[in-house]
Amino acid sequence: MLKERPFVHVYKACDMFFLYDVNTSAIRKISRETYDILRMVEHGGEIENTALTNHISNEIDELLKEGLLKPFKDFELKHPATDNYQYAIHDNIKQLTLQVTQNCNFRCKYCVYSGSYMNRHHSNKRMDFQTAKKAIDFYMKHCTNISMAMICFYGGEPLLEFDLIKKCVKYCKDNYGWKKLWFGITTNASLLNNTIIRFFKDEFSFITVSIDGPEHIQNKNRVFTGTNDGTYSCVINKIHSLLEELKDTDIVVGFNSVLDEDTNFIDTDRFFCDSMFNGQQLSFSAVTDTMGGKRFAPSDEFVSNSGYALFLSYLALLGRVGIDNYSKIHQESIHVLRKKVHNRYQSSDVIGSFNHPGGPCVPGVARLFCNVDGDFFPCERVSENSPIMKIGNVDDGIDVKKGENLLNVGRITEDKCKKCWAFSFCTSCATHCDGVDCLSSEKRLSKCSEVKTNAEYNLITYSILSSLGFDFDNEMI
Amino acid sequence: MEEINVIVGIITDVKLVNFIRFKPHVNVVGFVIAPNIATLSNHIIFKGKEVPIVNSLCYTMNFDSFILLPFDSDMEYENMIHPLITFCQKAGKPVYSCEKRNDYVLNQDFLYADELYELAKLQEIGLGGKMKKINCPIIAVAGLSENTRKFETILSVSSQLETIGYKVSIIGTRFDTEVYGCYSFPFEHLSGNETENVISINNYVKEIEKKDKPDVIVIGVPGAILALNDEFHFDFGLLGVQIGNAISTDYAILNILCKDYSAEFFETMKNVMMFRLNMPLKAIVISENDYDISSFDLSKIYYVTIPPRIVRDMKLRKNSCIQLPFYTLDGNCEDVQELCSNIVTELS
Repeated sequence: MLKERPFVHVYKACDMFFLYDVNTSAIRKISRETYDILRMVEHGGEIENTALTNHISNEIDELLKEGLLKPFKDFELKHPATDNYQYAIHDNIKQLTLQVTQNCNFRCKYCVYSGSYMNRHHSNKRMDFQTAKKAIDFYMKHCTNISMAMICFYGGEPLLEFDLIKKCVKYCKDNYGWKKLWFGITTNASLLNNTIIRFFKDEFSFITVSIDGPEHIQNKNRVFTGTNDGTYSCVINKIHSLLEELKDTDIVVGFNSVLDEDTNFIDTDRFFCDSMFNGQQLSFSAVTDTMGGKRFAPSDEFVSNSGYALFLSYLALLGRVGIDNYSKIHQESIHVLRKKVHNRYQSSDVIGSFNHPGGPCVPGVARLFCNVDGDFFPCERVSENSPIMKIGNVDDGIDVKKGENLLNVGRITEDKCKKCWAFSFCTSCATHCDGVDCLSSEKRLSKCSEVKTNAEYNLITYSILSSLGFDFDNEMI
Repeated sequence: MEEINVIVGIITDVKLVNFIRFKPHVNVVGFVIAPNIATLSNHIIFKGKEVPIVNSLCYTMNFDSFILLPFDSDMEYENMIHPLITFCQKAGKPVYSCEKRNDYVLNQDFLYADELYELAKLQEIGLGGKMKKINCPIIAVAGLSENTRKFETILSVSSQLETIGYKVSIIGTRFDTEVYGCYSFPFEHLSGNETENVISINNYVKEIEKKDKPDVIVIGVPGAILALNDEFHFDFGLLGVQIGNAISTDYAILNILCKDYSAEFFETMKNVMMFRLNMPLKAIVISENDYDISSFDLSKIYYVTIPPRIVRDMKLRKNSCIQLPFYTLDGNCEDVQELCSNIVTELS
């Protein structure tokens, strides 16, 4: 029988009831009656005052015999990568992203640099070759345990600095030709020409092109600097040329689309079903409001169409409708279910003696970002105008203490994080609590509701799909 | 064994040359290093001596053979390796490659494949038949994970046992270890049938015993003894189980990552080694590697390198609370001597 408050979360999925046991990460289907009792206990109700029927007692006893329903056990809040962080910074940096310019020939209305955000703006700043060389030298010195050196060019629009990119590639090949080299770029494609495409073909491994969708959607937000003219017709022709030239190569072309939730979901989804995108990597992200930019409220139509497309995608994967109903935009949602829920780590003690909520990558180790001034940041998504995010520079290297601080961002909300049922599903990293000069606990906590809602949504969806026989191990997903 | 003068390259990581430390007859007269390797002088201290960095000078030097270290990219080959191999070929100097490659890099124009394995003068060993009794004591070196420096342990232990007068036959953990003066693990004799594999490994070891008449055989267990998880399964450690059934191990060493495992964990490992691999766990070697957990998201395992000071601290902590001797391999000869002394005591 239950003696202490179990560390669990219960949820309802259609007419079924489930228990998520935080200590073990186990999910179990339970009866309505047990759900009601555990829900009451989860929300602060007293166990001793509760009269239980035989059925509930038996069900709870079975769960206890399985090792579930144990109470919260205190632990040290420390990211598992903390102890080896300094050594990972020393030898294991996986990727360097060089911001070769802060300038862009587009003024996308949602872009963090386009003026609508608190502290990031486009500028004419460009990286000089000396800074680029220092960044490359630093990276090469600190990726010795990694088999392939990966260097990515980023902006603004990096192709505004094509000559610098060429010099960087040559510098790497001349000085580090003994190491396997990998070059990538994120571009809006507008400046592509035959020379650049041939250069990509000779030297690059990965090209990410940003495009939002069909003409009316691309042109709504992605406009040229100065004229505000739409960019679609310019970009789409260049993409065709790029794909044609690279079609028989191993070079991967990926497309990145920002979903403006005030546009037509169906048109965007249909656009990416075009054969042009077959076999290409697609990624979709919503407009960010991390640094206080304009938040576009999703239209009812967008929400409805998006939800229906997701529903059809599930039916397609269940074999109940044709696979052509499988939404490209929602591919990622299904990947998330598999990765975060189906393949979640389970054991008798998931949290152990120390742990940290999910969310943070290992700052500077996973994707070291170097801005035009030669300052280092954990990745390209953080604001380079926030001192708290600056973890070093090309001259002094990486400040391990600052990196560890970002890695262990959960410490600023330690008490709440430790007792949160969604501890393992958290997606909040330092970016989400960027208080410019410090990490902001208010900002971190303000995201909790969204994190928990998403986590519960994923659990519900996973449980429903599993009960319908969905095969999450299917390679097709 | 006759002494040979060798040039070694291309050095991209000085750890790669460790193996030569254990070959007294191999005299390194020069290193060719990759251009980015930072050096404060024109030599590298190796085996207590200053060995010059020769790079393009090697074309004018007097040496017997070139030892080619593992390398990755084509660019490296084009820029540095190709001219060197061509030069050696024209000068009649053998090139010993530390890895067996079938790609175009070491194509038919160059010395490669069987010729590279001259160092060990390995004869083809006949296999097949029944399980045979092996009388010679066997030391097994297994790893809790991959990349726990098993091979370095094998070479250190063998070298020290030879120094104190024992004749040692070594079976390395890889397919290319003849170049280091060891027998390679007989991967080419293994099939999909586990029973046949067990008999093949047994026969292979027996043939080595018959041929060399060693005082002791040191065998490495390739890979890891256990899976880390479903994704990083290390072939579930099944080869270790086959080796454990093929031979009767007298002394087992478990190489581990530099991680703060509990006393209970080591008790479990003793049981795993005994009842899963049929190997009595007698010693632990702490390597200077640990998982780089940020690489798990890339579906790949990279390792971080832990400084020797931390590894030694870990050894001291474990030695004080766990009933198993712990050793390190940081170039400190005392640990290897102590380990071998323990082996001799246990096997006497």
